Amino acid sequence: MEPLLKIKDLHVDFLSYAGAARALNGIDLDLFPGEFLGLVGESGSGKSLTANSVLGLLPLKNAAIAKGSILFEGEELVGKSEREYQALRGKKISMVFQEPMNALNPAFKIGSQVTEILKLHQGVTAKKARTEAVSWLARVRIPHPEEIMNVYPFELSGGMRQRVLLAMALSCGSKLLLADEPTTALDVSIQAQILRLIRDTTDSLGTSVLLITHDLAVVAQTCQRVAVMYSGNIVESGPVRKVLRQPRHPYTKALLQALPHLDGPIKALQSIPGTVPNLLTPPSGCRFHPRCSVAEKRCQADRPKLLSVAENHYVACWRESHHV
Amino acid sequence: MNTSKFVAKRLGQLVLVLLGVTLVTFLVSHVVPGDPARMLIGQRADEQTLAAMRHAMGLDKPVWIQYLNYLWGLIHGDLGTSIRTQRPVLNELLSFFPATVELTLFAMGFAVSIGILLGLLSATFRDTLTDHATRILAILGVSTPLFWLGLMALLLFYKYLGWLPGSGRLDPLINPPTHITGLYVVDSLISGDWIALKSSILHLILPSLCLGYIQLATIARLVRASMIEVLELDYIKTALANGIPRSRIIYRHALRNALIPTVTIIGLTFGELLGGAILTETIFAWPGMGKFVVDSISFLDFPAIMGFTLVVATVYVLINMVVDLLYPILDPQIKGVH
Repeated sequence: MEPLLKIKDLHVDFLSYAGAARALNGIDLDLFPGEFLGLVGESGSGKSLTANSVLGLLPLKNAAIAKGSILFEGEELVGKSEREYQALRGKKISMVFQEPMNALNPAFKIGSQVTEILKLHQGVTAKKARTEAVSWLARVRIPHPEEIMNVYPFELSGGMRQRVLLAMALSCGSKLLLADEPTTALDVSIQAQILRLIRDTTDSLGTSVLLITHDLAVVAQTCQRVAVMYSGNIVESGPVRKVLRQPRHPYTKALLQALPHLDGPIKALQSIPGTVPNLLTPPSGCRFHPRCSVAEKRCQADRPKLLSVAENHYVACWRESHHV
Repeated sequence: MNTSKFVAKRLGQLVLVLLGVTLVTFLVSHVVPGDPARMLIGQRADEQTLAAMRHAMGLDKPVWIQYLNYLWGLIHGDLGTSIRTQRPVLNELLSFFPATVELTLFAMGFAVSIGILLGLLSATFRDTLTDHATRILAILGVSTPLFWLGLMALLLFYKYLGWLPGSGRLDPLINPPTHITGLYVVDSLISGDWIALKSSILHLILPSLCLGYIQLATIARLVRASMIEVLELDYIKTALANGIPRSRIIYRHALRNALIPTVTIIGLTFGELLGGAILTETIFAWPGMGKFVVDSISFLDFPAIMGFTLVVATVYVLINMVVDLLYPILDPQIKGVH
């Protein structure tokens, strides 16, 4: 099957007075139609940057794609003009963000914000847009959608706002939803509801989802496949069960060991020593080697490639046998 | 709180503010050295005449009695009699008020429309040549003294180029339009007096541009700053991610929110322009309240000065009330607060 989204060797630089920081250091990622893929990693690992690159939403002044390619439905996105991106955004590729509280314009009613997108992308009349908007609000399980059309964002809870944003993102039939930590700002009970909602609605529409999160539990609950990022690289990817049960990369292993377990013996939580490297002066070779408990000499010298270790399971580590 | 309650409360506050204004202006004007009676009868009049005049003007009574008398008059709509013209201050102010309002409205219209436009351009094309040019224009605006600007404008456009008239409200050879509102532009429009309309608009250009320039600069800077702030917010990114064109994001999504702080400033601007008209009216011989008050000051005409101050203070408070009433329309979140 042809991937819907194919990111190949993507490099993104942040330009600062101190020099260029390579924030994405050669990302390879495939996303298939209808798939629910999790992208995990700690803050600053480049998860959001990857999603923003796909949608052409990099901050214009100081971030730039240095090389690589992003294919969507076989079409190259890198180098597209702002106008071409506009035609894609909200129509073929949509995005929902972390902070539903601030993601809706406080000066406009919900109805006007949802219908604006419908009118823009589908060219429907105001009346038609309104009926469609109401049905979309109902679809994301908002009670009394007719009334919600006439309220302002500040009158809604965070969960409700995220539902509205999801309705907006999906309303024009996007094939790909980039969900950037959509539940991080919500409390746990709402989190589960929203995640289920995202999964159910995208399932029924056949929309692929790239779910960005730092929460492995969220990945375990919702995703089919997961990619683990560290400092601008994908270090491991594969089916969720495999990656979470039999992690192969030392970073993934360390991440999983840092999770508390309800049923296990009570002991102090483990943490990964050190911090995320400074991107202006990244470590040579494998960027994880200074924090890695099993690092060897070659880890300092050369960067390992992301290679297959089992079916659909890829790891970028010198210690995996096939690299030898 | 509903709107009528809010207005009632504000009007109550207005009374208190005005009381404070009268107290301060009264005290200040009676503490400054100088004797209005002496100004009136001339330097050579003898002591007896002076004493009689002081008595007739009530200046021989203790200050607090004078103040109470003044307040008593105010309650009855009497702002006192102008020492200089010997006519009721209220009538004088009323006859000069429309000229000042007309000037202020034009200056304001200029400052607000061009100010918002420049601010928008500046924010949209941030750090480009457009932005730098606009910012230089704005900095010049806030730092150029009005009297200098006015004189330079007169020199250039009136004296050397001869494009625009330099003084008064109308060509001296043209009859003023039928008095309806007292605003010449409006009156000549209503009565269809096109000659007067053209002349009054031409006469308005220089003084209103000079008067409005400073405020234009303030508004442009403020709009730029709040646009830049708003454009960084999450909901702008949502709009972008949903494929809404950048121009529409700027003019619809961002501007609406960026205008909220601007409206406050615009309200204050109106008051400042009314007060600032003093200089402009003097430079351009504009027969408004400002010119009247300047003439009054040089004559130590206290009732006239105090009357002017009261009018400006009242307009200030009223405008701010209107601004407060506008907020909930611009920013729905404030509705809950009122």
